[in-house]
Amino acid sequence: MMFILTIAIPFAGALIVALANVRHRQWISSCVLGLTLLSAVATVPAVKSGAAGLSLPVSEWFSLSFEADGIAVFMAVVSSLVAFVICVYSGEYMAKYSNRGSFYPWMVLFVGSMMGLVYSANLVLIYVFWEMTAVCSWRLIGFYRGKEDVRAADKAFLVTFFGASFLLAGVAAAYAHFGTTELSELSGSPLPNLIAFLFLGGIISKSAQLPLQSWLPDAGVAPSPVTALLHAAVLVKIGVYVFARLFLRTFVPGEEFLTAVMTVSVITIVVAAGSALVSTNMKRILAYSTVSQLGYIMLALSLNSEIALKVAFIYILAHSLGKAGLFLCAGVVEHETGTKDITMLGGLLKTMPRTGVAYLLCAFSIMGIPPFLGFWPKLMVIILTVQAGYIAAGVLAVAGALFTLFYLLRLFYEVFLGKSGPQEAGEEKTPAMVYSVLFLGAVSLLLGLLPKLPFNFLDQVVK
Amino acid sequence: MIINLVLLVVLPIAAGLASLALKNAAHRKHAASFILLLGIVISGISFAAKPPALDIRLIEGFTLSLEYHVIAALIMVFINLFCFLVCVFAGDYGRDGRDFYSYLPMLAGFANLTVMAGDFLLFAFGWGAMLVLLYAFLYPGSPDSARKAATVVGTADFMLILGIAVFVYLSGSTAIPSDGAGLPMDSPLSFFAFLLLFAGAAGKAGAWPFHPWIPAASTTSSMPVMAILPASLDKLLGIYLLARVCTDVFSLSRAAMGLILLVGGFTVLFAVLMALVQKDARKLLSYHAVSQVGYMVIGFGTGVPIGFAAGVFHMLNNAIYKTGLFLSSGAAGKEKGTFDIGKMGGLARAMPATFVCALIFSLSISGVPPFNGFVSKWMVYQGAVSGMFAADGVLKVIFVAALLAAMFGSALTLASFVKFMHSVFLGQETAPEGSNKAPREAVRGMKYPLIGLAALCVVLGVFPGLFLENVAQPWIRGATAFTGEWDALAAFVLLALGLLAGAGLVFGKLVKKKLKVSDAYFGGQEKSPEINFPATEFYRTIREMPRVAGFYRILDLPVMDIYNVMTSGLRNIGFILYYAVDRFINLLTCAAGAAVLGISSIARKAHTGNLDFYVIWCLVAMVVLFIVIAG
Repeated sequence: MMFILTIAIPFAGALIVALANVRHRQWISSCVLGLTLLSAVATVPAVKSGAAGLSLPVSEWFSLSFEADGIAVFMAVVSSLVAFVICVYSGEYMAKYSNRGSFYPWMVLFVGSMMGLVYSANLVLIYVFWEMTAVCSWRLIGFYRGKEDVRAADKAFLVTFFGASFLLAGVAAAYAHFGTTELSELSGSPLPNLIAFLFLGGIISKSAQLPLQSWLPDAGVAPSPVTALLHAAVLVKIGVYVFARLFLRTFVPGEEFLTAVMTVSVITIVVAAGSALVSTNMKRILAYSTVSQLGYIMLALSLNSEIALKVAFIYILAHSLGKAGLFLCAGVVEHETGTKDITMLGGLLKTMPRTGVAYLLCAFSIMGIPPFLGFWPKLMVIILTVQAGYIAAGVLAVAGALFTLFYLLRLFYEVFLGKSGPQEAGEEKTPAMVYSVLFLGAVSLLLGLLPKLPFNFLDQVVK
Repeated sequence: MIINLVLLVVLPIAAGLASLALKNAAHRKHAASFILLLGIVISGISFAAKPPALDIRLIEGFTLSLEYHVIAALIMVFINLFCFLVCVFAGDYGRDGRDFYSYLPMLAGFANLTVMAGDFLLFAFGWGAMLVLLYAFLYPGSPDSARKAATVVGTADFMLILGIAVFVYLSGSTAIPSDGAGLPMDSPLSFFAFLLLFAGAAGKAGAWPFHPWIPAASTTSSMPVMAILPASLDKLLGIYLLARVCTDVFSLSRAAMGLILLVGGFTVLFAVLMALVQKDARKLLSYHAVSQVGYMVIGFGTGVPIGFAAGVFHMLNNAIYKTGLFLSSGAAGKEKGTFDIGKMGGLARAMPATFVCALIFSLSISGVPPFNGFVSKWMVYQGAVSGMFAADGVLKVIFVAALLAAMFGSALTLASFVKFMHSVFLGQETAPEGSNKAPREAVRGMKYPLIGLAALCVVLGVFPGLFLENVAQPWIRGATAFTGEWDALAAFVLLALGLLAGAGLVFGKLVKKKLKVSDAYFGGQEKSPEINFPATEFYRTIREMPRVAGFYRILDLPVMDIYNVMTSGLRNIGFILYYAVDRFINLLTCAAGAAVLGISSIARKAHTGNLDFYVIWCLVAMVVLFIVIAG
């Protein structure tokens, strides 16, 4: 039952952080998230010997059911690891904001909601945690409280809520159809396309797939730790995780449905990557990149096979590490220069060499260039897609990869190289921020060189 | 195989990464030299011992495997040898930063891994990792060149990945076939897969149209960098892939042969024409690096065993003399302080050893017997002629065109190197730029690698059987022997005797009459630095010749640079996708939001805050409820 601690620690921690003095909130949050990570890791040995579960019936149609299986534990470890690094980073980043005190409780609560969601084994419970993450992200995106920030936060909340209402309708329809909301009882049931598409509505809004993607680039107004946490590492992964949980681990989806998902994902890959190539705002470029990369994960999941599921989860790991690193790099640059507009930047490598190197390490992983971790899942997704007979989808996936190479190199050149822009930067005076990003880049490289480590781990926990 | 994996892959990569922590460049250099020397020994032993294959399961359906292919084993020896020689040279050349010595063993490690790969996954991993190192090598010289290289080669790499995916779909396995029974190209999809794999190979080897980064990088990067990547390792790996694709992966169709021949022929011709008019030694050599790829490509396009053997042999020979050319011109450029060949001149007297080595490299690349370049070019011609007789229709015409391009290209290569050797080592002596120091012979660390490479040019030219019998025959299992009467050893002996006799006449004072050296007559004018007739000016007239000028104008067009085409093309596509799809959807989202707000603003009018108003609403609702329930 170690996994219950993974949920309980951040929820209790959020309360402690909210009651603590503002000056101490950052390190308390880091400790809470560190403990969350440890408890998630401690769950692994138990899961290797079989899934652990807990169910407390509340009513006829609802139970507090949790289950720690392979994909849940994997997701919990990845999310809590990245959240911990981001929290360490945020100490220096948020120091200058007087209202930073409100950031930490919401952040820890968000991680708690995420942990609750990954271990949920009941449709209603999934929906509850799903909406809790939406509320937390709404508050975190609107952290600065400016008009533009609040508008972006409202947009994110409304679009994801719009999607969530489909999810809720799907939950209701599933209950009406099957007479239960327990995932263990629904396992192996063929899912009518109508319910599947209702679920999908919620999933594509959370994972920012077309046509519900527009909230994510706008949400880049948030502080960088928020964008890294929400838009790279955790929030957007909820959608793909729930997709895997529902369609690859519980229900049996129809062929038409999976084809539709594949179509949406490949269109998203290309459209978002193309949009990233023409944007001039650092965070918007990275946000479009997230949308595009999530398309690859959805593409892998739409193949509906055990190998594709594992590849998708390695992709989640690689993307979480790499993209969190990129958002945090953007944060370092923004922190030092005060702008996100790449036309105002340039030549920062002279004063910020470590940040530049960290950016490249993370960018190469996102591009899918070996020897970084991002290479393995991207290659495998493309191979599996084509192997399944979807040649056109494979071609579009490669086109998206090409776009990724272009826009991430362009971003590096506009920000770190060339002549200095109007916004110059001083030296890197925030070691915790810089080394947090370097850590993420180094892990991407190390796991890329030793791919057997993550694949073995996934192989052992996902059965 | 485990030992090989550890010593040839893991150790160089780990050592390279670890050496990044060393502050002293000399320590890094010594560490790299030791690792690379060990690599030469281990790969040499492996070439003879042929260790068994090894499989490593990554995940169900994806197994990584290592195996020794006969060409791969040979290439691995040369990968480590070139890296070692360049490492030694670079130490005394002194233009590269300390990171160079950390990247070099990593490069060797990934290159070793690529050729040891028995499956496409591992192959793509090692292959792609070299892109990152290419970027790292070029970056200190010019970030823009590095970006161009990463973009162009990266594009080819992604094409390769798609090609691998389609191949896996067709064959059902990620393993690289090694039994010589390639997939038949009997469907558009198999041709598509071939096209993509061919593009990947051409991209790495630097064939047209993936070449533009090489001349661009040549003027901004150091000579050791150019020598190790575009001149040697990229060629070795690119052509290795092409060799496997043409012999093991696919059984070439007529259309594929035609395509390969066209690309090869065009690459030879266009690159040599560009090389001919260059004034910068580095650019001249880099265009030749591109041009020589054309010969290898033509070899594979012939579809006959001797052509395949020629492709691989020319790859090896080219890597040897091209590395030597880059290094020798690097040594010359270092002494002169410039790479403008119009301003070099007269170095033969000051740098005799470098001159002799450069001469051997130049003769080799020009296909002059008895050096190695002659043998492999001859084999290319022989393959093209054999293929031509077997072909018919359009393919026969293409064979003729490719053969003519190769022969014409060879003549132009010779012309180009006459200019190079005359301008750099012979001709009028000029003062070094920015220095009063008289040019001196390259120091030992730079000279010995050149002598080693020159010796290889001679050995492989005189004893081509070393390659043909030990590599080509076991690999191709077909007729790879020469036709006609050519005895390389006899030709070499005769040439050597002639040279010795000449040297004896000159230096042994057998010629009684002393040579008279006179200053040139300049119409009564006093000789001044302005009065100079560099060979570059003479060759400039080629660019202005009628008809040829038009060809050059076409070659100079921005659309001939794939980098320009791709960057502008993708950007335009990006604009369309952004405005036509993303912004349009955003507009719809905002419109939906505005509609909701509009409805809510109407509904808000029902909330006046007036109690009487709410009471009226309640009454209305009760009436409606009553009607509904009663009805």
